[in-house]
Formats: sequence, structure tokens, C-alpha cells
Amino acid sequence: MSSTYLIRRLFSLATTLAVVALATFLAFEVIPGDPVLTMLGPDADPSLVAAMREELGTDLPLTARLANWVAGVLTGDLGTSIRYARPVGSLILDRVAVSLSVALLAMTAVVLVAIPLGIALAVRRSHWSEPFVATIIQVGMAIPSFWLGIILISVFGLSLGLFPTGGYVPFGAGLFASIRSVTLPAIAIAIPLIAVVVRYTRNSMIDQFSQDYVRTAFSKGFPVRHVVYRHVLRNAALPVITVLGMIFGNVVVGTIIIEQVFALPGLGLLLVTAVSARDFPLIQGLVLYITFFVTLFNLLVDLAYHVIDPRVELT
Amino acid sequence: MIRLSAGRRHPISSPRIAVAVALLIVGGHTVPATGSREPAEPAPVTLRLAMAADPDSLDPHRSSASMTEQIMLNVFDGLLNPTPDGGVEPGIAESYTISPDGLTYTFTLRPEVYFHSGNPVTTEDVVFTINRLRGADGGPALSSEFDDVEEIEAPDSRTVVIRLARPNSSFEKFLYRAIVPAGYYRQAEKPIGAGPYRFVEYMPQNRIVLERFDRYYGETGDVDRVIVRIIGDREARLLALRAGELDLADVPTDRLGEVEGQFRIVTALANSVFILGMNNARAPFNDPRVRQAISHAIDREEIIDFVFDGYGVELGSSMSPAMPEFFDEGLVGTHKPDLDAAQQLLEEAGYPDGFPVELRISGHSPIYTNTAQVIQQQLARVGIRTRIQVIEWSMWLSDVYTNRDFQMTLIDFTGKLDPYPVLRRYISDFRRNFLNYENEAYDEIMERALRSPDPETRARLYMQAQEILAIEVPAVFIADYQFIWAMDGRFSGYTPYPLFFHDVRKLRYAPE
Repeated sequence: MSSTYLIRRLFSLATTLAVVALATFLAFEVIPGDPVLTMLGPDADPSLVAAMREELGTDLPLTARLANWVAGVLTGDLGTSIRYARPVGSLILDRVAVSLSVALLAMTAVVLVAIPLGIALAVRRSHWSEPFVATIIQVGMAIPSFWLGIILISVFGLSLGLFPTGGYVPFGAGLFASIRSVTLPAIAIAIPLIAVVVRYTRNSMIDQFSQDYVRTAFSKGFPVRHVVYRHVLRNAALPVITVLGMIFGNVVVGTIIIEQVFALPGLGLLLVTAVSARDFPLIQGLVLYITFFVTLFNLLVDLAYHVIDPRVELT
Repeated sequence: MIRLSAGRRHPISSPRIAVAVALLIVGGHTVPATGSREPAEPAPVTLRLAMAADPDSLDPHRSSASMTEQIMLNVFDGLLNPTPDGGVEPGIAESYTISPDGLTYTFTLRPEVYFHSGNPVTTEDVVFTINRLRGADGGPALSSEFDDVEEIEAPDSRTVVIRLARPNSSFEKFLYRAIVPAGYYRQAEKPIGAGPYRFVEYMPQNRIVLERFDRYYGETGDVDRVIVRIIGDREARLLALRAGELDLADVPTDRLGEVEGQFRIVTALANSVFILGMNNARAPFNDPRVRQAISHAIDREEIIDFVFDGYGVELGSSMSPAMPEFFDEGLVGTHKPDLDAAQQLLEEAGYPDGFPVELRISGHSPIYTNTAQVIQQQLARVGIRTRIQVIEWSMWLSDVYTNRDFQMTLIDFTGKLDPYPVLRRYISDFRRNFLNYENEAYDEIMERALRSPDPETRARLYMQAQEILAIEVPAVFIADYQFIWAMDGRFSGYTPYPLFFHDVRKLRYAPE
């Protein structure tokens, strides 16, 4: 891997961020809605509205606001949220803890369950149980996660009382309670993803099994275990890693619907609120953060390719 | 007037509930919630309640959402405090006098009142607060309610005198605004007041925590700690309530059956005015006959039944019976449902076959989308063909409410302690007269009411103003609906106010 490659990728990351930030800025120029009015509602006192507009500089022309924002970002200051009167950076950081713990828990479940299951299904294809398993996977993929969330809350929260029905407990208030508060959402996110990854792993493995090198390996007398884990899995892993990387990128920036159902203060819920409140600094900050993460994950996935299969050249 | 509910539905059928602000309907049964709890040692009593959205600001002078007030009124005290019947009573001021000309307000501060910081509340704090609100502290004015203040001074350590430039009969009701410590500008981060509960922490979209303030001058109740969970999703709130994670939460009328046996049900009029607004500046609504025809075509009772499951009262003008002093029951039914009358008025106005109309509403609350559909059906009976356009709340605020770009719309205005801000919405040159209603006689009556120091004259004038609205129909005044709260059976004594306020100190707790 050449260093020019990395430099080029980082440059394209920066360009992507700039384009996305500008597009968001312009989009909210066109969409009607005023942050001060939306926050204070129909009973807003005219004096208060005027005072807040003045302070926030929402009356400034577009170019001035854009310039202020860019100047801030370049010095590491994402500005202050209008809705929450707190620094955007710290608001996002608070939420990263929530979204990250859900994402990590969900991804652990996905990797631990889906990959072994996918391998097993590939190795024992044409087993009598295959149609049943295929059906279950289909159902798993089709279930909307918000519905799954409500079912999980009803069963494990309401009826059995094993987990809270919603809300988030920060690490500081106890690690166990904290993990408990994100378990149901993580499961609700993980189940449909498990189904997807199982299918991917299985198909990718089966694809490899039909390759010539597998036949050669078997004819050389290698044991099945050796062929499966040393040869097939390594080749089959590439598409699976792509999918895992994309999924993680999506989950880690917040899952809007699940966060809504579980009243979980993650990044997704914050973004929805920011948009409906027309909290421009917060929207900009979140979009920047999300774009950064998704682009970064794509880069990491590409790098992982190279590590797994050195023949993949990064050019 | 107290009614005990045993049945499932509780429609208020008679509008004869003028005195019913403090009305409390309490469900009989108290079954323990399913959540786990420590045994009944003298453990601190925690009240866990739900709130649907984040506070707009924790700074009491920078907040205007009723939802915020619902919680934060526990943290702050004013010179005066609101009472359940819509009045004000001495708070930080132990007594006050108003000069006969209505220009000079003299307050005597209560001794031994403390802020949550531990500092005593002084006249300096009171002067600072009023000056901050009216923009005389070097910053911008934060409230136009104090525009009429000419000067404020503290002649001695316990007396504050406020002089108005002209009489303002609403001024007394504004004085429940929070008194804050002088020179402290971080209220939005860490609010400090002199109320019965002190602020502990706030995590956006998660929770607000309050604790009882032991040095509060007045009586405090049984609740030691308040945890306000912020849960935006209605379904999630209901699930949390049913799982025993909440002691107090709102319940949609159609879901009442799920919680009725398990919780105390508290209902009270919201003191809001739910209207079908028409753009009075645009044809065909610039013709009062068209507006009256629509008022005849709308069956308010049907809306109350369909949308609020009967939990609401019909209105005839822009005032809820939750304001007994200013509510005129005789105006209810000024335009009874009468299709013939509606048809005739439409013919006179030149629309014998009706007309097409667009009803632009915000989608953020189901009451708007549900009511819009009922109204669509009702107006179709007189040939008015309604197209419903649902837009986002912030779009509604800018396009409909601010730019006045609409034909018809629905909006629920939340109540105030004073009738002036409720009726002001229809004054010709009021900034928020988004219905573009213009009537000189109305403007004049309102101005006289505002400047009249005599309470009786004032009440009479407000009645006259409402009569004009009832007859001229700048909007169809539909209903005031009821709040429905489900409360854990261990708590009692919920006291409703004609504004959004969970008065925690009035709650009593009895372990089972």
C-alpha cells in the first residue's frame, strides 16, 4: 500500500465532507422553517424572538453564515445548538456513547451468530433442515425492526420485566444497567442484520466451493476443516466484510426508528429532532459527523481487503 | 365539582362546568404497578413522570413552551404564583397593593426566602429580574409583557415598587414569571430559582431530575425527587407507563382502557381553544356569511366524539370554561349544526354550490389529522370540497402562522392565566393575528379592557369582545379538550391548573 494512496483517499474524504456540508446548507436554505419560531412555538413573545434572532445571527445572509460556520469548523468549533443551547460537539459526543454501545452490541451479536451459522449452512447444504432455515432467514430479513422492537418491549419489558421498556442509562450510572438499557434495541437491530449476513456468508461460501481450487485442494487430500477455514473462508470473507463494514457504518451513526421506539437518545433521534427544529448548527454538525464515519468505514473496508487478500491492490 | 369515574368513557356532555377548572375526576382503583420497588422503609419518594419533548429552554425567561412550564414551574417562584382557579396568590411577595389608578404596584417581600444556591432572595434580585425581562439590564428585552413598566425601585430592603407608564390590567397575571438571582446568566445550563424543587440535571432527550428544596418557604409535599423522562413516542410512553417505569403520564383517550384498572385517571380541562381558522383576508372567507355558514356546517359534538372520545367541551368563542370568570356559556351554540341555515347563507353569499378549499394543517399531532377528516366530511354536506394538506410543524409555523399563506387551518391554542393574551389574537394589528381578522369595534373594546383598572368593567368588556367573535366567526371555535393523566395509585392530590403545570408539591404519597 502506497502512501500516495492514503493521501488520495484522505483528500477525497475531505472533498466529500465539503460537498455534503455545502449541500446540507443549501438544502435548508430552500426548505421553509425557522429555528426560533419552531422552538418557541405559536406563543412566542415577539421580544424574545427578536432577541434570539439577534443572538443567533439567523438573520445574517447565507454567505456570512456559511463563512462563520466554516471558520468555526476549521478551528474545531462546530458551533452551538439552537435547540439545546449547548456546544454541538459535546451534544454529538454524548450521543456517540449511546449509538456506539448499541452498534457494538448489535454487531457482536451479528458476527457471533451470523458467520458461524452461514458457514454451517454452506458446509451442510442439502441438509434436510435447509428449507426451514431458509424460511426463517427470509422472515428475519423481512421483519421491520421497529415492529420487532415493539414486540421485544412487550415481551421482555412489559410481560417479563427483564429489561426496561426504553430510555438510556449512561455508563456512569452502572455498567450493567447501562448495557441492560441497550440490550433490547441491539437485539432489534441485530435480528434482521443476522438474517442478511447469514445469507451473504452462506452464498459467498457456496460460490467458492464450486471453484477449481477447492476441488484441487480436496483431491490433494486436505481435510475438510483445512479446506473450509484456510482456503474457502478467506476468499469468501471479502464480500461479507464489505457488507459488515457497510452495516456497521449505518448502525454506528444512529438508527432513527429503533431510537424512537426505545426512547434512546442516540444520534438518529438527535438528527430527527435537529431537522424538525431547524437547528442548523446541529444538523450541519451531525451530517458532517455521519459523513465522516461512513466514508471512514468505506476506507477501512478497502484496507481490510488488502490485509485479507494481498493480491487486492490499493490504487 | 368532583366526579368519581367508574365507567370507561367520561364525556363531559353539559357545558355547565364553568366552575370546573379545579375539577378532578379520579379513578377509584389503585392496583400496584408491576415494577419492582424496595420495601416501604422511609426511602425517598421518587415521582417518575413523562414529558413528550425537550424543554425549549431551562432559562425561565427564554422559554415559551407550555410543556416546559409544566415541569419548570416547580423550580421557580414568582412574586406571585398561579392558583388552580386561574388567579394569582402571593409568592415571593407576601403581600402587594395596586394603586387605584392601576399604575403603581407595591410589593412587600416575604422574609426568609432562599434561592437554590443558598442565597436569600433580595429586592435586588427582583429588580434584576424585571429589568432583565424588559431589557433594561443592558441586554435585549426578553418579554413584551413588561413593556409598560416605566420604572422599578426598591425603597427599602423588603419593598419593591413597580410603576407602569399606563394601566395594564393583565400585568398582575404576568407576575408569576420566575424571580432569578441577580447577575446570574447561566439559567439555560443550570437553572437556579426559589421554587419548591431544585434542578439537579438535564440530559437532552433522556431526562430531567429535580430534588425537593428543603429551605423552601412554603409547604412542600411528599415527593423528594422528580425524574422526568423525555419520551417523544406516544407508544413508548404508554409502554413505559404500563411496565411500571412511570408514575405519571398522559394517555390518549383511545388507549385509556389499557391503563384504567392499574392507574388513577385524572382529567381536567386543558384551557385551550381549538379552532378551525379561516383566512379572513381571502375570498370567500372575507364574507362573514361564508364563515357563519361553515360554523353552522361544523358539528362540534361530532368532532369531540370522534377525535377526543367525548373528552372535551364545545366552545362558542375564544375562551375555555376553564376561565370561569371570563367564560360566557350563552355563546356556546351561537351557530348550532344546521345544514339548511348553512346552505342559505352560502346562497346569499353567492356560493350556492359551495366551493373548493384547502385545509393546511400540521402533521405533528393526530388531533389535527383526525379533525381534518371529520371536517372534510361535514363541509361536504354543504358542497364545500376540502382538500387536506398536511405539512410539517415548523413549516406550518413559518408558512401558515407567520406568512399567513393558507385558506383554512386547524390549531389548538394553549391557555393563559389572563384573558387578554387569549383574545388578543383577533386584534387587527396584532403581529400574530394570522387569520387577518379586522374589526375596529373589537380592537377598541380590547384596548379599553386592557387599560381598565376595574375588574368588573374589564370582565364585562372581555365578554363583549367574545360576543363579537362568536357572531363574526373569524374562526370556528371548536372545543377545549381534556388532559388525561394516568397516575400511580400510591400518589394522590393531583391539582390541575388552567395552564400546563404538574404541581409536584401538592402530591401526596401513601405506600401500600
